[in-house]
Amino acid sequence: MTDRVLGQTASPSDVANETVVAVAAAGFDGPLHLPTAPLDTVDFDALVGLAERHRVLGALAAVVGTGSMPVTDEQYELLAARQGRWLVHVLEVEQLLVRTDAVLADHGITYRVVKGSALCHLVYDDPGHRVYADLDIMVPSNQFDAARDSLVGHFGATTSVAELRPGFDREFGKEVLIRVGKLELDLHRTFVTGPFGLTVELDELYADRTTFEVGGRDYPALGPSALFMHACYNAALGDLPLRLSSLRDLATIDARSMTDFDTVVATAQRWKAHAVVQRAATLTCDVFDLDRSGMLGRLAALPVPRFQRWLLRSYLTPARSYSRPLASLAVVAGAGARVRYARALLSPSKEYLDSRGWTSGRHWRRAIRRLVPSRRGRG
Amino acid sequence: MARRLVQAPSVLVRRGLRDLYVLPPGQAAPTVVTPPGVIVWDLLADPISVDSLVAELAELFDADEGEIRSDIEPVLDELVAVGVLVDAGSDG
Repeated sequence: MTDRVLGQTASPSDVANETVVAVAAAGFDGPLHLPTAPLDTVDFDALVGLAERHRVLGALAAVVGTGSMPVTDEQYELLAARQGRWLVHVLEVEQLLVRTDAVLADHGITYRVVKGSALCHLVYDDPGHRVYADLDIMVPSNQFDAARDSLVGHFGATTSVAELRPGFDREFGKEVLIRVGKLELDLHRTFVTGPFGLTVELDELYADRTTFEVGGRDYPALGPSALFMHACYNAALGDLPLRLSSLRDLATIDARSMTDFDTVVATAQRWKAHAVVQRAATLTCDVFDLDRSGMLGRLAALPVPRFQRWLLRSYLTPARSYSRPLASLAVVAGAGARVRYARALLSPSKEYLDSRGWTSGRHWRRAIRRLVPSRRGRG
Repeated sequence: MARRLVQAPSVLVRRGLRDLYVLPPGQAAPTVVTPPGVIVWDLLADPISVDSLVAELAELFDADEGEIRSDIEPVLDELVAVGVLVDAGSDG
C-alpha cells in the first residue's frame, strides 16, 4: 500500500524507502522505527535523495540532530551540506515573501501565506525542519487579477501559461505560476484544481487568520480550521504520487490540536469535502501506521457520499488533466457559469493553445486519447 | 561607554544541522555562519556589549580575551556592515 501510494520502487534501496517513511513519521508515536545503526553509503545516499524528493530533508536533519538516528561523520557532513543548500533557497523564497507583501499591501490586496512558507513557522518546532521550493500565496477571487498583474508588473515576472479563456483563472482556476528570476511564486485562488477546488467556500478563508513572524514582522496565514483543511487537500489531492511532507504537515497540525473533530466535519459538510478529509486522514494513518483512536483515525472513518467518491476518482486516474475538468462541470454553480466553464474547456483561447504549442485539433485529440485509452492504436 | 550589538530584527534566519543561515534585507544571498559563529549569534540574541561578548567567549573557549577580541571585532564590523547585526546603543 505505502510503496504504491508513494510511487516507490523496490530498488535501489528498500532500506532507504522504509527509512524515509519512518523519518517523516518521527514524533507521531507510531510503530515505525528509525535505524539504530548508520546505514551503508548507498542506502544513505538514496535516503537523502528520497528525503529531498519528499521535502522531508528537514525532518531527516532533525532526527539526526537529536541523535535519534545515528550516522557516520561523512553522512553528517553530507546531510548538513544538502540541508544547507535547501535552507539558502528557502531564505531566498522568504525574502520574496517580504517583497510580495509590500507589493500586495501597496495595492490593498488581502492575502494569506499558505503551504511550506507558513507551516514551517506555524506548526514546526524549528522552521528549518520544513523545506519548500516555492512561495505560495492565496488571494480572494475578486482580487486575483489585480494581484497577478501587480506582482508580474513589479517583479518584471513571467507567468507559466495563458488562461484557458480570459477571466477563467479568476472564476474557476486554482493558481497562476509567476516566475521571479529563479524563484517561483504560486498565486492561488483555491486549494486544488478540479471539482474539489470549486466547492471550497473561499470567503471563509479570509474571515479568520493566524499570523507568523518573519524578520520582526507578522504575516497572515489561514485560520486554524482552514489550515487543517488545506493540509487535507494537499495530502489527498496535491501530488500523485504523494509527497510525505504533505502527510507530515497534516499529522503535525493535528498534533498541535489547532482545531477539533466537529469543526472539521462541519467544514467538510459546507465545502462538500468529506472525500478529501477521509482520504487525507486514511493516507496519513496508513502510511505512518498511526493509532486510529485520535482525530485522524476518526476522520478516516468518515462516511463519504457516493457523488464525492465519483468526484475523487477524477483525481486518481492517469487522465486526470482531462477527467478533473469534466467532473468540475458537475459542481460549477449556476447555468451561466457552467456554460462559461464548458466553453473554455471545449474552445480554449488561441493564446492558451499557442502557449502550449497546440492547435485546436491537437487539443481535442489529446483529450480523447487520455479519456479513452482503449482507442489508442486503432486505425 | 561600551558599544552594544544585537541581532538585526529584520534578518531572515534558518538554523541547519551544522550551520546557521542569515539573510538581511537587501542582501541577495544568505551569509553562512559556521559553528563557532553560531555561538556568537546566540549570545547576540539580546543586546550585549562587545566587552561582555569577548569575556563570555573567552570563558567558553578557555582562550585569551585579547586574542578573542582581535579575532571577533573585524567579524562583528562586517556583520554590522551587511545588516546582520545592529547597534543597540551604549551601556554607559
